[in-house]
Amino acid sequence: MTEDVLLQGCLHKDAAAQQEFYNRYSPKMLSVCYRFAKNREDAEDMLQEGFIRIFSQIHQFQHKGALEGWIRKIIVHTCINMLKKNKKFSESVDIQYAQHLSVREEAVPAVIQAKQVIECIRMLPIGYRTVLNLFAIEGYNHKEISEMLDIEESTSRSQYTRAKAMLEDILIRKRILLAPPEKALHQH
Amino acid sequence: MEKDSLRGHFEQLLNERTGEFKMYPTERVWNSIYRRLHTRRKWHFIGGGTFALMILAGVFVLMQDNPRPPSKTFSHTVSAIKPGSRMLATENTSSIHTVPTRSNELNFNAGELQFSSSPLQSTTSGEDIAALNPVHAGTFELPSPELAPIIETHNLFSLQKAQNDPLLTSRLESIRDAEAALSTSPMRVIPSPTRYSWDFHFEPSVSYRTLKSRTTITSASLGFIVVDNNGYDINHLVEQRPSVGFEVGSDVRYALTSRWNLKAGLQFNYSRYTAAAAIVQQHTAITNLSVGSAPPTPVSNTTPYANESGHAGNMGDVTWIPDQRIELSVPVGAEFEILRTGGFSWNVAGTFQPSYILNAKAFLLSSDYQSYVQNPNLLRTWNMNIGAETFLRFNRGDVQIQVGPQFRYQLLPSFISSYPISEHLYDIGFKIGVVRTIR
Repeated sequence: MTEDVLLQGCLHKDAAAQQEFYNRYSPKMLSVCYRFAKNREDAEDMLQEGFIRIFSQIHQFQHKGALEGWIRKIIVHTCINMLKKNKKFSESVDIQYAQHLSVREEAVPAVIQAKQVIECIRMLPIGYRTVLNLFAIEGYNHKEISEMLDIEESTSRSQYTRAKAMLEDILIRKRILLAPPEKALHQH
Repeated sequence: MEKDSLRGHFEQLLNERTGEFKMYPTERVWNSIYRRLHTRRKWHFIGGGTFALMILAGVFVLMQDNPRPPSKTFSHTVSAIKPGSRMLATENTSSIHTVPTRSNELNFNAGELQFSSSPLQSTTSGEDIAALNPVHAGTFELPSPELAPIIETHNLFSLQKAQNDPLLTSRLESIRDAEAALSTSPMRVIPSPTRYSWDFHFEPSVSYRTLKSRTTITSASLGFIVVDNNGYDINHLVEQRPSVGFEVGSDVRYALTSRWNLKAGLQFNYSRYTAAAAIVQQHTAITNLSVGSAPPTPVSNTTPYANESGHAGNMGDVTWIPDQRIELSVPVGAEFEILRTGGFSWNVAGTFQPSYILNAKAFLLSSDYQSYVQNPNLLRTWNMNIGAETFLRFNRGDVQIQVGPQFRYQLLPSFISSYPISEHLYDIGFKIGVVRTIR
């Protein structure tokens, strides 16, 4: 079934088309939700709410960009709204731990397994994780993130810097990311 | 989206590695979405069913409240009423009976003075004696001899005029007072039985299904080897067990003759069975839908359930996946009394039952018969069932109790016609019912 046929079916609230649409996009979107959520169950709740919003707003899709991008945007906003509702951002963040880490752009791994990386992202405190997900993976800028999360733009930047450093450290410890030479020497 | 200058190789890498990652949601998610998207339509039907049930209940209550059966209303012209006593004298002069209660009011109507009464019985000293029909007895009389000639000589218009006359008005009031006095008589009134009765029934049942493939099953289309001497009967490619369900409902009956009864009502059905499946990794299974000679439309679903009987080898942990339906039916049919002796009778009955599925959990076989998938969209929401039963009915005073086996079969396949496998459910149950005549 082509994308246009699917969209037409969904616009007419055809259950078969809706299911096909869901089957096509839900696996990718669940992984998006999973990066934001506390656990898989929460991720599925986010996915459910997200798809209900998608089906109820599908007439607003204007074919200006990719359908998947539009779906992803709604899913991300749903995740953020659900996190806000559950006051997940109030969880404390170990800033001191993050501060001593520095960003090392050169530390690029040869192979990174997606699932392992996602699990490492999920090890970050929720506030860091959210900013990192939005900036590094979803491609939002800090201004947009500050508006979405109701925080200062500078806060978003500093949270991201710390989140990135912390993630890098986790990836190195998990041997997913290669340590930079100076750190490798220090460890030895 | 404006890109920040901070975005570098690390971010790009994270995006690439995680952006395309896929995870498969459990069935619960789609089922919840489906329910939330399509509940309005379902609630229309539930609301409609409830409304119909309330109307039926209302009609039933009204019929119970009004002891006068509509077919037994007697109208008498004014000239039929003779002056005299208000007492009804029966031929048996040892008893005197009153014409009772609110149903025998005097009603001024189009051109006639209408008197309505049921063929009632009154009791004197605990003994029931049939009252005489007022007309046939010829002894229903107005209390005032002088009122009758006036009414006799006037039509409706003069009667209406008479109502404005103070003298006549006071006379008519005295009639009403007398009626009221009669209605408070301590004598017990027992209405005669009518043709209508109602029943309430409950049936524990076991449910099962039979499958039939609309397309030819060949070893090539199976994609696996079937070690089965029974051939390629699709029922041999699944392993299933019946489970216990129930039915509960109520009917209104109308006695056509002494042996034939028509009936219609509302019934709630809960039926289920289980099928053996192996729990495997989430995978995508394809169901091909075909209409006529058009090329089949593949529908994909993710599922963790494999049809173990559809595979040659051992697939893993076997579980019994539950398949269940909750339906609202409107059974319409007839009963025939085969035998009546003493306090009980032997009957047979058959019904057609248009049914609407309120809720269902149904697993379909994929086109390669190797997986079980859930796809509520392919489920037929309206269906037609037939019911057949035989039962013994025992008289127990005011009520009758009936017990006996029943069989219910789903005429249309469970899934839409483009799905290539026909599934027909059937239930075998034991019905226990209570029947009461509507008076």
